[in-house]
Amino acid sequence: MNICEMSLLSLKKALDSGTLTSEAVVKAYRDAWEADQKSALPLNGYIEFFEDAIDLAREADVLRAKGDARPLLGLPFAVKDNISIKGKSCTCGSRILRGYTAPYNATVAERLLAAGAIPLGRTNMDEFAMGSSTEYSSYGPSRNPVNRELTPGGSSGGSAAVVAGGQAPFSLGTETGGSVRLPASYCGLYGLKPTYGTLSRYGVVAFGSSLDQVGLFSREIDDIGLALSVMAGKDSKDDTSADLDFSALANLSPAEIKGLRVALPEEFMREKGLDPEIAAIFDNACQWFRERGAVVETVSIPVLEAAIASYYVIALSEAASNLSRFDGIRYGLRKDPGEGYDELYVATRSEGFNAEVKRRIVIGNYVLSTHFSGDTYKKGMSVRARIQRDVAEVFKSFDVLLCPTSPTVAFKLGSKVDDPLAMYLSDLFTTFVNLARIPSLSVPMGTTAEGLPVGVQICGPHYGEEKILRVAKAWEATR
Amino acid sequence: MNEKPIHTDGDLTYEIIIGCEIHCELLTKTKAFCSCENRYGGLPNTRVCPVCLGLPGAMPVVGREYVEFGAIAGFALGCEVSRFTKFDRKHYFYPDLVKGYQITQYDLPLCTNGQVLINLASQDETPRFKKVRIERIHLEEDVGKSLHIEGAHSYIDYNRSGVPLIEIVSKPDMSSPEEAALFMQTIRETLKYIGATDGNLEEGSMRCDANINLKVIENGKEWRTPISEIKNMNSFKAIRDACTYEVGRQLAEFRTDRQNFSQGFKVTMGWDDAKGETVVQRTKNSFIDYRFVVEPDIKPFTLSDSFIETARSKVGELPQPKRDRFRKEYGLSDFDVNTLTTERSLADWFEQAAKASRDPKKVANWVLAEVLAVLNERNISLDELKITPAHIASLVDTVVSGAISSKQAKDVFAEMLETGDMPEAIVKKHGMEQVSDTSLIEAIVAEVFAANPAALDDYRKGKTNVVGWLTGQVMKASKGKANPGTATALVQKRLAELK
Ligand SMILES: [Zn+2]
Repeated sequence: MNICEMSLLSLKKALDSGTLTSEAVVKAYRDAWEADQKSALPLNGYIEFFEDAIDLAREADVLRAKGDARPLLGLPFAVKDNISIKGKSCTCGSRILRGYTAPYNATVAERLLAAGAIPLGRTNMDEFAMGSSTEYSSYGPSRNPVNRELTPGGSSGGSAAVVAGGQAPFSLGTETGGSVRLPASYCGLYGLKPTYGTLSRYGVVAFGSSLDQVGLFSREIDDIGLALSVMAGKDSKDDTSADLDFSALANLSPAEIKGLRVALPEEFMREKGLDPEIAAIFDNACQWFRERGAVVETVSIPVLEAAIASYYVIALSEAASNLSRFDGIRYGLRKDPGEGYDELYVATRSEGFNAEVKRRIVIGNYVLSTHFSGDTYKKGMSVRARIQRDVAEVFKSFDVLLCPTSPTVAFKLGSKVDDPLAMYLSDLFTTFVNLARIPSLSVPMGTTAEGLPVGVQICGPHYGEEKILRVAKAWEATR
Repeated sequence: MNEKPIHTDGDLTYEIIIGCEIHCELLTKTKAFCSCENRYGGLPNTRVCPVCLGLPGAMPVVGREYVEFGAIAGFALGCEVSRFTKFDRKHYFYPDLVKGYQITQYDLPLCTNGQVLINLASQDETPRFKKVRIERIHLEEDVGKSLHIEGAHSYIDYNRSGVPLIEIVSKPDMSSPEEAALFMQTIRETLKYIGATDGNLEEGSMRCDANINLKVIENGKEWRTPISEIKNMNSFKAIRDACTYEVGRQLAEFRTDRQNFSQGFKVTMGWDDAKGETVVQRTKNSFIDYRFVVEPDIKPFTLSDSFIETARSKVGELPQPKRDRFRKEYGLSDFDVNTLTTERSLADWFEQAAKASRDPKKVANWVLAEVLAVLNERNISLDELKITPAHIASLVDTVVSGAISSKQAKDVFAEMLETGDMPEAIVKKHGMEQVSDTSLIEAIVAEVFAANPAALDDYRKGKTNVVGWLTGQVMKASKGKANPGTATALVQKRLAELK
């Protein structure tokens, strides 16, 4: 068996039955990473592969021999560079955080570690999660394992690349407006953005706090359920975390599709930017549901037209606020011309942030300034309230909502990097999910004639993770 | 009563308009948004965690005690306490501010529409009150402390970062520097009284910003001078001096430029105590843009009825009502009442003793004269004393009953301070009970008369001063226990019989 193609769940079974050791598993992934490093166009998914991963794997094997039966003992995962792991660097792909070592664990990491999982390394990302291609990383872009000329998507592109490229069985990313689902779609993976509150954000460096959520990448649907069952639940350190039990997700059974009520928002169907090939694959997906007895109906949610505008107003306001703390005083980069505080802040932030991050900080501050922009922020918030209300209304009559994940397939590296507006539109179909705080799973639904993966989103009501994962499980069973 | 005083300066008449913002640190066990201990001082940067350092990824969690203290303070200052509330972020850059923003409350403060009465009379005068309205009280976190070493580095201590504050914002109801200082004093007294703060001005537990400008009338035309905000004053004297200085400065400035104030713009100043002048920190042309945003890491929340009621019940009796009551119930003077109610602990201590005794007025005298003297001499607090209110009550009652003399009571007081023994035990131990039993004293008088025939002869010859001497002998024979009045009367009676 090829370890690097195995799912998390099959690795777990192999470790449990003794056919594999954790050491062998971690070594296989490290070898894959090292070999890829030497290739002509490396994936550049990892910023750092942890030196101590092999030692932890050996320890896990010893513990297992002693009867330790923790759910993820000895199983490896990769983690995005904006999630704190005690004693490891956490730089958000930015120069401004070079040299910063997290002195504490993010709760999601803490829970995986407590379950016995082993962090393999930290993965590449668009600086401070701002971007849709991982090209805005100060560590250089990551590549799409399907076609290395293409972007893996972003901002969690590194986390997607290592899973799709066989360098990790599963990984953590983060989302503010689609940063997990988009790379999942581009790389042919499952990518879940859970309900806001399902996973603690404590220790996850904030971009747009009211939208951010940790997401998961895997090659098989069971792996997301298994990881979520360990990571989800109330965290006393995060006031916004939900007090719910997700342990049932460790064992997913396929959902009954017959009678399932599926909503298709027409606002996305008539979208001009939607690639015809993607539209066709999406139609096939709808057909798959219909053939199995689902009730598939078009719905109209007009306010979705304003989703991306509302999203950028709120996300950038909160980003400008969250990024204020990076000032060169306490950690990370410091540039001090020796002329006073203001000059120190300006010099540090000018050099530490890339152009895209600076652009968003400036827009965010402009939006927050009532002096300059009037009540733009307030308007953005009220549109969001409408979106939350109208989307919740849909779930009173439907089980799930279906729409394409991205209007296009993975694009060529370099093709949009100088056109921020084109880049922003990659998130056209994903941001409403974060605004509405609902869960959404990007499911690989097919490939184009060129062989490029296309994802379709299955969105559910608040805390409907189990529902959408089981629908995906039914889909996976027929592939 | 609330008429605005009009001042004149040459051909100008003007009113002074002052509003205050008071920052007050709360005495919670933990900091506002983390579980770090909330305490003053200590080794720099020893009480910090990812949250109060604002490290990447750290998130605030609201302390329950923090909100409760805020609500208690709100009720104490006559406010309405909002059931539904939320937090916001206020942005600015400064090294002691770890996140580039302060968590505060912007458009939904915890408390609104309060009022306090400031007493314009001096301590021994009958109170003369003025109402000062409170616009709002909101919750806010404190920032760290910078230490600048001339010609070297700047150091920052983040122990104070995240300490819970309330900010009390008054309406511009003060019309003199003195009133501004009195407002601060009244707020401090009230908040100390309810145990919300230690009110320690030197340690920065309370700071006051004053917004001040003038309404000037010149030839019938009315002007408002631009507003100055004088920041971070931490003594009543500084408030008085800074506001007085600023009145003069604004008048002088008005005479040269006759500028009217414009909304939203103000000059920010500091008070230089040594030079006795205000120092400009930011000019009036600078618009301060805090770019408020809803704090997304803390869910808006609704306070339960029981939470609100508990907070209301924890306010207790405030200084002013207590003064009125003490005056009435115990027949005490304004001065005595003011002294006894400066701190709740003292007032409670007194009242416990007063309730346990037959003579509350005498209890007040003992507390004011003797107990306070001991506290001052030894520089200790009430709970460090070995005696309790019960000790004083029982001591006073022992004197009132005539069991011991006032003079003996001082000795008993001294001894119980050292040993903590009850007065009865001390009196018994030393056999100090005063003897008032006439037959016993008569017997002693008889003995003394029998033993001193010479003195009796002297008396018969007209020397009346032997009365005192004989009484002294009786007291001596009784080892000081005889009631001196009874002894004198019996000596005089027996001498009269001699004639
Ligand atoms: Zn702390």
